[in-house]
Amino acid sequence: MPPQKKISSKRILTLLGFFLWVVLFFLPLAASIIVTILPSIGYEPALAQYDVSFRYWQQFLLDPLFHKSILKTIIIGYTSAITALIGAFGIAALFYKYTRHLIKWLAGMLAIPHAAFALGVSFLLAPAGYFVRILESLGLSNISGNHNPFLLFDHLGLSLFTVLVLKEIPFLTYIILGSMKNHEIENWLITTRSLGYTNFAAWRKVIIPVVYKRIRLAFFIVLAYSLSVVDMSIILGPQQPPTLSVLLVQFYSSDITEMRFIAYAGALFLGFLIGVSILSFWVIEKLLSLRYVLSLRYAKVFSFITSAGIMQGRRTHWLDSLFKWNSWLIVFLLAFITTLAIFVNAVWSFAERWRYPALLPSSYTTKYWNRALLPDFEPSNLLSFTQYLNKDTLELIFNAPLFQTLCIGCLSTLAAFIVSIVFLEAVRLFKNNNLFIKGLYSSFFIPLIIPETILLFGITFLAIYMSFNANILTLSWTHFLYTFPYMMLTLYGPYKSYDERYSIIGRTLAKQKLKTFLKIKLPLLIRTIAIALAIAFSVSVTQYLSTELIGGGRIITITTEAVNLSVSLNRRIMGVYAIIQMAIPMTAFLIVFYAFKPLEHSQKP
Amino acid sequence: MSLQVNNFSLSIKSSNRTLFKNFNVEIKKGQITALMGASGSGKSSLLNFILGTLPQEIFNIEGTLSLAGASIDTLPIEKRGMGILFQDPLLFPHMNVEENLAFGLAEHIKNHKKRETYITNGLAEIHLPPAIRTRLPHTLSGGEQARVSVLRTLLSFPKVILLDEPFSKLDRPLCQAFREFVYGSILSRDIPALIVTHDKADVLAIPKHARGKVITLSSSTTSS
Repeated sequence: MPPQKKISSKRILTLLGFFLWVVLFFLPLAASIIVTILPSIGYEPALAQYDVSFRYWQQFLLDPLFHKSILKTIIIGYTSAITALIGAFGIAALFYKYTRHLIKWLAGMLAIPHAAFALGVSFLLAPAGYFVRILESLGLSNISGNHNPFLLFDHLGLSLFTVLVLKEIPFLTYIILGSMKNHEIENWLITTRSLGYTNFAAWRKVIIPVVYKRIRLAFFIVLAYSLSVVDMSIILGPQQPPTLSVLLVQFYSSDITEMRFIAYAGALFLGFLIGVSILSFWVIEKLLSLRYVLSLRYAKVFSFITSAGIMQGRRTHWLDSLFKWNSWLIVFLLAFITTLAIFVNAVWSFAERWRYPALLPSSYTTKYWNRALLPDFEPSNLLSFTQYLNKDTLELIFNAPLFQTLCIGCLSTLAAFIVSIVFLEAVRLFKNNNLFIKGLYSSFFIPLIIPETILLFGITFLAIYMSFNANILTLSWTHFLYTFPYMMLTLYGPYKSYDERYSIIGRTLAKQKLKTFLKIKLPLLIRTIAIALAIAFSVSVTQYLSTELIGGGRIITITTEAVNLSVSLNRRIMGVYAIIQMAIPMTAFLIVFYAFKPLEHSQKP
Repeated sequence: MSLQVNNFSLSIKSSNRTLFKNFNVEIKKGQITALMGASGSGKSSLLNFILGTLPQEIFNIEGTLSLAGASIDTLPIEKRGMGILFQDPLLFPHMNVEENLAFGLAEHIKNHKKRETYITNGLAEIHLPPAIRTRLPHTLSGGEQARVSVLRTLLSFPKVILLDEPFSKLDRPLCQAFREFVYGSILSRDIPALIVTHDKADVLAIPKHARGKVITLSSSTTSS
């Protein structure tokens, strides 16, 4: 009788990983894309629509409203993503020597949700906002007012451009610094500078071309996000028409079936636009790297920025000075606008009377905080809350936006963490070079590349069809689609560079795989894991469109409240929600940093 | 022209551990000075002091550095006139051989034809064919990459050459020939050179007439 084969852990992990991928990723994504395609061509059995045609595509493509909106989207999306990339490289060039400190600062910046940041900036840029108040107090009232082109909802999209750039820079800088732990890059920098090139020349000519290839994926994610952003665009983006994704959400929310079908066609077009954008950046990069093989002289046009003056051995170039001063300007704007936005948010949340053009309120109150934390709770004073703990008040607490936010955030972060660890362990078993694993890894980022509108219109349709909508588990899973890729992006590099010999030694001593994993590997990676958990949690808190569509108005989080209130222009309540939105991920960051710190130190080999 | 390190003291801020105390050394032109020592003895720290890349938030640094009598310790690395060779060739992967060399070639040679000639002659000096100019670094052998890297440094006309374990990654048969090539190239320029190594063979391979001081650092505080 032949000996029975023992199933290896490699096979179990592979099967488990593949199963999770199919159930959690492939099937829902594929289904959501299909259910977006079908209505766009007029086919939706639920509404007894069987007339297949390209009518809605035609309406979408021929409508001048969409033309203007698409143009705005392309200009704001491209310019903000490229400026953020340049700014991130600039900050890395200025402060790479202080990476440890910079990472902490960046972690704090990453914790600020997009919508909260946009709300803060909207308080600064509003016609009676803080910038105008400052100008008034300085006696420069003729500059302020409606003549100022750089105000909220400006039709050029300058305010949206600014917040997109400032919000994406910390993320890209974090990824750049993470990809530079390699000693080789430090030595390249020293070599280049010893040849007589300044720091910024060395970055422009040597480091950026090398590092860009490593952070390409993160840049594509930022590009896709900038082209499809919804919440920030609603808060301070251009209007009449707004950017394409906002216009599509407006069409989708309409009661007229035809408009919804046009929204489906538009969502697919936005997906196509993002695909073409990413492809064109990729093609330019490939042309540059193949220019020697194919003798593509014209490819040098694209490489001007990074290779100007190389053959002449020019040690200084005006581009380097521009790069340097641009970087300092961005650092200043980032620090100034972020600090002021948080400050003004906080002040508005406690303001009772704040007349224009005073720089501070004349009286303060906490009533807006009480109202925001427990909207239906009476009496308004929170201190007497403990006397009212009964079934009804508990229900109120469970339905409160804060509780819902925390609950969904914890569930989606935990799920993302478990799936990430399973996948990363599978990667280790396959020695990182399995084509299947690489393909699988790339697929995790699909939700970040595909516009939210495609994915979420489809998922909403499926959720309603299967009666899974307005359900906390469905919503947590939708958040998971976004928390998981960010967690992978943060964990993948450090996990890959973990020295497996520690585990081998651990196994020879502990004789147990699980014990080695828990006692050796996890503590050594705890700092990265802590940051990844905090980022994932922050991503969940930030989710707007997914919560709005899947929650169907029955599940309300801090973010949906904040964005929806931005239309109401009640600055006090908006301030409260923005501060809560910032405080939740910030608290998560602080908890993970300080909770894991003792473990990290005690377990260091 | 010589490079002088005067009264160099170095200690780690967090632990107060002193690595160097009043250390002095003169690296004379036309000579190759060797710096030997075990890991952690401070070889790299001294090299980083000369380059100006010691992180001030980690170390307490004292001492002066002068080249041909002029103080250079406040200058940034790009103004010090140092050429450095690491154990890896570190050719820039996105530039071909010609661009790597042109990138290194001193800026004061402005004439396009002259620059071409420098590169062509340089390639002949390191025994590489002209056709190699358009090739990308990853298509070259390890030995070819190492030679191009040396040439790139020399074309920048450095006033001092610093070698940070440059032969430690090479195979034995290739290593001896490459040592002779590097030392020969440096000595023909008549400039000061400092080699940091833990391998005695690297020191013994320096021609006797050009062998400068051999400084051995111990893991305890070094002073002279």
